[in-house]
Amino acid sequence: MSLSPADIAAIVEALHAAGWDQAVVQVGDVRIAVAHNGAPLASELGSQVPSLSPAGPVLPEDPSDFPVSNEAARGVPVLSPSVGIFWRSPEPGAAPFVDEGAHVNVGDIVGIVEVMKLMLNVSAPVAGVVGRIHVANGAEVSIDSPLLTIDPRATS
Amino acid sequence: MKRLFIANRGEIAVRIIRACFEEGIESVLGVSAADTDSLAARLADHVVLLGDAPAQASYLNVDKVVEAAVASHCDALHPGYGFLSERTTLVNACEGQGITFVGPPSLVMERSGDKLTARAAASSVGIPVGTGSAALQSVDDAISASRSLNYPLLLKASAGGGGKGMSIIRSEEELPAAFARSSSEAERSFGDGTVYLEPYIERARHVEVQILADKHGNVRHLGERDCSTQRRYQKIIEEAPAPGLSEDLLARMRQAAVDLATALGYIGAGTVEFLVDVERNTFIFLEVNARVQVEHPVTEAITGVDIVREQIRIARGEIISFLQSEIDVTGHAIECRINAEDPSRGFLPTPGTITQWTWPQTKGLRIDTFAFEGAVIPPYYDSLVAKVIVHAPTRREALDLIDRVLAKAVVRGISTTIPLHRAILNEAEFQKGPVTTKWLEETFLRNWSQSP
Repeated sequence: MSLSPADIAAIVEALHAAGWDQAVVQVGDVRIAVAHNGAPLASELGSQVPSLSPAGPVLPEDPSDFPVSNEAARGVPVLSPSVGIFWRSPEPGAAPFVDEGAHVNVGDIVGIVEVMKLMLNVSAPVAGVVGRIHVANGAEVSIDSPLLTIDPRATS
Repeated sequence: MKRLFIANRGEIAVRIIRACFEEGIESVLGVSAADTDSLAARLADHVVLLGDAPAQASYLNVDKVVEAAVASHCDALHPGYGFLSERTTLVNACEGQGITFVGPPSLVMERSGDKLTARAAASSVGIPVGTGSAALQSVDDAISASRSLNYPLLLKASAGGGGKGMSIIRSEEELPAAFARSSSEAERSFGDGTVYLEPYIERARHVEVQILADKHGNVRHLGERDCSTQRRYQKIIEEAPAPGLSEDLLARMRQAAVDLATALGYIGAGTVEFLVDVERNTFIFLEVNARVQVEHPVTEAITGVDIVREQIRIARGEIISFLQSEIDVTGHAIECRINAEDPSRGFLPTPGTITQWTWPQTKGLRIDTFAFEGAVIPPYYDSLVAKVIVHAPTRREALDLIDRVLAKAVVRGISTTIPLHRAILNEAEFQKGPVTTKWLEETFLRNWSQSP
């Protein structure tokens, strides 16, 4: 099945009329992501359907299968377990759990996502070297937001 | 008192604004950047921005709160519950600026807030406190203290609250690890790692007595509440009066609360919490909460007393507006705390935007909330969205009414604990009579699976 520009316009119109802050519609291989009212664009949150695991980040079965942007191509993204606030250190003023370039083992805590007074530890799904940290300390994150990237092949 | 500063947010800020309105006092609300368009901000007479969204930068920042109260020319401050409500630094700062703090003076708050001091005060007026230990300095200290006590024991933080720093210990081998865990958690949460041992009652009910005390030495009680339905030491459902307890036991608990308030020189609204041993029909003193409680509406429902207005009057130096003999408990009240949490996903908090908020209207129903269609529930603060309170002639009728209310409620945009409440309310064991503090977690939730 294919979609004409008119179809897409109709879908976007319908979503807008329904009052959604954000929505993703997939028809065949066409994916339409819309957001308004300042909501983060769903397509920025990674293309996986958000699956929730309070215990830790979502880990792709095989890191090489994970669909990543060019920038994060070298590594496994660590995703936020919940909407909330990302903290890089255990408490205000303390040293961060990890910095870019740090070596981590599986299960090492790399950050905290705080949501409504609940502190969710975010741990490394793979061993490797911390690449980019995508989110600033204290910034709001959505569920499945990439927090940082770990390169499992690199050694420090 | 002309202008009152509200150092809080959410439903309790709305509740305090209502009391100001009724008392003819101007309300000034301090808000964080996340709450500038909250219901409380819309209802307050004036709004002052405290700071950024995280509580440390706004609602938990004593300097900013007091600065805002001074700058907005407030002559009084109400702290609500949580946040800075039991911080003596706030009480002292208000005093230093000539602002009337709606709550106990700092010395009384200090005496009430430290559990070991409060226990000693309770014991001195003959209130059973359970055989426990003094403050423990080390693991060795804890082990030697435990040898004169009976297991199971509860290790508790002296500065504690909300279950932080609490460990149940069933044998001596568990003590070293529990001691390390409890004292470090207490240190982290309260800046005070002092812990002590208390007997742990397996089948207990949490029963608390509401008190009011004015500056003229009058102390009154407003009966008791049962708050045994808890998850992780957080109350979920509260009711008043406490069902199924002997009149003699209740009378002794109410008197104990009044005696303790008198001994502490208490001023303002407060709650004296007790643990009732179901097997033995006895009680021990737990702690004093020197603030208005989340669950105060159930007491308001059965007594007709407006606790928040009474707090304001007491702060103004007035005499409590009623005599003890005028308090007549009528009917039964139940409160369900509706939290923005998803019970089917391990109670994960679900902040977000409320897209639909529909509730029935009926006699005997009160909803204390800051929610409305379009309201944003921010991720920065606790998950309480609404308190649904019903008042009916009997417990049976109250249970039936609140379940029917929850069945008609439609909330969209966030997940809530409404399905959990409905399941509890329909559970035979809960309907039959009072449950114990472990019932929800150890019996009910183990068997409950939410159908999709």
